[in-house]
Amino acid sequence: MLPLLLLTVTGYLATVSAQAPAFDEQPAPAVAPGASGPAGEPEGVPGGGAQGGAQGGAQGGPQGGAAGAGTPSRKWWERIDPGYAGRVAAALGAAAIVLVGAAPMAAASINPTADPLLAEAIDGAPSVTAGPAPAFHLVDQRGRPVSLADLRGYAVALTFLDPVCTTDCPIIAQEFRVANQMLGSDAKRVRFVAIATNPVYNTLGVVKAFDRQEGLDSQSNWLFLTGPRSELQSVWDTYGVDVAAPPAGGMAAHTDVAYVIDARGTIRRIINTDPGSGDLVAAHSSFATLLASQITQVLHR
Amino acid sequence: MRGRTAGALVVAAVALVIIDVLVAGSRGDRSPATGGAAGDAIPSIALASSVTSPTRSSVIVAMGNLDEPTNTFWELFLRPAGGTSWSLRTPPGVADNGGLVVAAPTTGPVTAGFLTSALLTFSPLAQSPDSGLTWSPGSLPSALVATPDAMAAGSGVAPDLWAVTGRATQTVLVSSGGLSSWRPIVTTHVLSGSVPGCSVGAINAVATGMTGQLLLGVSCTHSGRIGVLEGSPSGSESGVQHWRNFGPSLRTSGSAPSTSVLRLERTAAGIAGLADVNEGAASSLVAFWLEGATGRWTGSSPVVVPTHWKVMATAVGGGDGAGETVLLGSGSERRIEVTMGPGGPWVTLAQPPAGTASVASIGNETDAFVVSGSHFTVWAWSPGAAGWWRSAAITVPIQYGSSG
Repeated sequence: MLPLLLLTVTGYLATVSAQAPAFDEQPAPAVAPGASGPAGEPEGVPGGGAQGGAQGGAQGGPQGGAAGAGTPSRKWWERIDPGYAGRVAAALGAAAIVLVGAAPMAAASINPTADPLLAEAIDGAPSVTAGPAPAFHLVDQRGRPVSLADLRGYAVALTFLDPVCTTDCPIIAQEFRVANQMLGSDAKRVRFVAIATNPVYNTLGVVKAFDRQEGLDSQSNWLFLTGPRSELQSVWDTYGVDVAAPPAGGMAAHTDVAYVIDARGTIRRIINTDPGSGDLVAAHSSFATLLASQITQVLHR
Repeated sequence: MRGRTAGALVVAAVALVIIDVLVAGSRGDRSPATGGAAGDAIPSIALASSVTSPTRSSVIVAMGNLDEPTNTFWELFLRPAGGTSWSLRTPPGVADNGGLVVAAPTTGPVTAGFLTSALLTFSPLAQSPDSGLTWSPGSLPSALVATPDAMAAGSGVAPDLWAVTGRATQTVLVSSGGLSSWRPIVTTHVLSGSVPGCSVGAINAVATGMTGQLLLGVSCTHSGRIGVLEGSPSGSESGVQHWRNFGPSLRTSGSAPSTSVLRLERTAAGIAGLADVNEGAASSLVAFWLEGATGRWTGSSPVVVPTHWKVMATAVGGGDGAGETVLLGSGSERRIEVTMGPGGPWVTLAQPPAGTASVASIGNETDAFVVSGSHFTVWAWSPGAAGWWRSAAITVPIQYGSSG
């Protein structure tokens, strides 16, 4: 916001500190020798001033004529100083540039149906595929067994999240939550599924803590799956998700990806879920729109 | 016309501000969590710390690029009793940029807690039965406070574990034999105004008492007494405890100073603690001990913290197990003060190595830890030595850029 304010204020200052417009200025009329009235007396003063002005108009050329109140008035745009007009145009142009840039970003942030163009610009377009989704057998956040076969009949938005991640995963989880809201009545035909993607922190307790943190513990079609490390490793491998836990206090790293699987268990879309800069809120809104649109396409294909 | 132009621009500026406010409000921005950030009720207490018990010593220190929060990594080093070398034992799997605290009782597992950072709002935990060789995960439902004794564990295979969590209001949680099932014990809200002899401002520390009970180290406003609280069952069905301050009183000549417990640790012989005593703008440190056999408090003479100096690190467990060590710093200057236990005077050690970031005391030996990026150097000193000698150097495999 600060840059916007600075630009606006400087634009304002540029305008108000500019010279006053030509049509407000009252140049001294050309005074003919012997003319009555003080030099520079404002136009329109009854008496000699008018006369002087008339004389000036006759004798002083175009400048004097322009100032003469008795002269037939020129169009207002003819009376604008070109330099002032240029400065105003520049200030308005700068403001327009800001608005052209900021308005869509602001709209994308507040508009739940923001165009997914931004997300595609960051992460690329979703890949359209038609391969079978690898099976898995895990447990959900309540400890209930869940397999991919159990989800037949639903479109599945599947992603991989580290429940103790400090950066990307909470953002991706929120994108999934918003996408669910965007789907409206279609949401009941969808299951949003995350698979725990941390070699150490993948217990039920940690998964539940993540759900609470993200406000997903009350979303009925949200499943955060986990299981024994060996089973998780198998799922990570079959879905092409690389996972590593660096030593010395580093955050576990993993591939940011989502799959949209149709009701028959076929992968229809592969989407890069890397949220990019954590500050680009419009990109997150855009990603949620992208995800919702891809799910909708798969639902209605 | 000039007025109209200016007016239009002002209107445009106001409109932009309104748009921005609406956008910020609608997107539900979440403030990044930070461990012990400014604005917390708890005072800023140095996290760099060490504990020595009869079985091991531990030290926690910040490493990496300390100017960048996402490239600052807190590391845990352990040294077994009788051993001579420190080993890196930071639990893997969590970004620990917010800080790290540890509960390392004399017997039983070591438990480490991660302070929150960035978008993480609850504290992951890790517990090791084998002095940090392997770790099991767990979590708290909320964020640990950023103090070195924010966690305490009883002894045994599956001991009670206590943790101080929360920010503006702290809550003490207990878990019996697990790392993911917690229940609240008490909050600062409950303690505020209800503890005779202490106007409780914050809960800074927890420790296990002599009979296995929970002790709280708190800050007391203008009480003239150090805040060590002990709970007792009320006898009512609600199970609500009554809390009393049984901490030592200070000898004061004038108005009652405010006190804040910085450290509170169970030792083999009793309890050892360190408190910050504030009277006006003057700040001093007082070590205090509870002797288990007699139930009597002993206090040290005060160590004045000079203006513009601060406590950079603290250690408990030197001497016979009740010694305390303080690292003071101002800019690049460092000073180490050591007391060997109840009744012992504070002794200023020889000028510590440049860049000393933390300290530990093991028996009569004091270790100073110098950190430079990924390099961790141990300097040792003991009575009679000509000066500090370099005893070890460890290169820590810090993964810069791994936290976003």
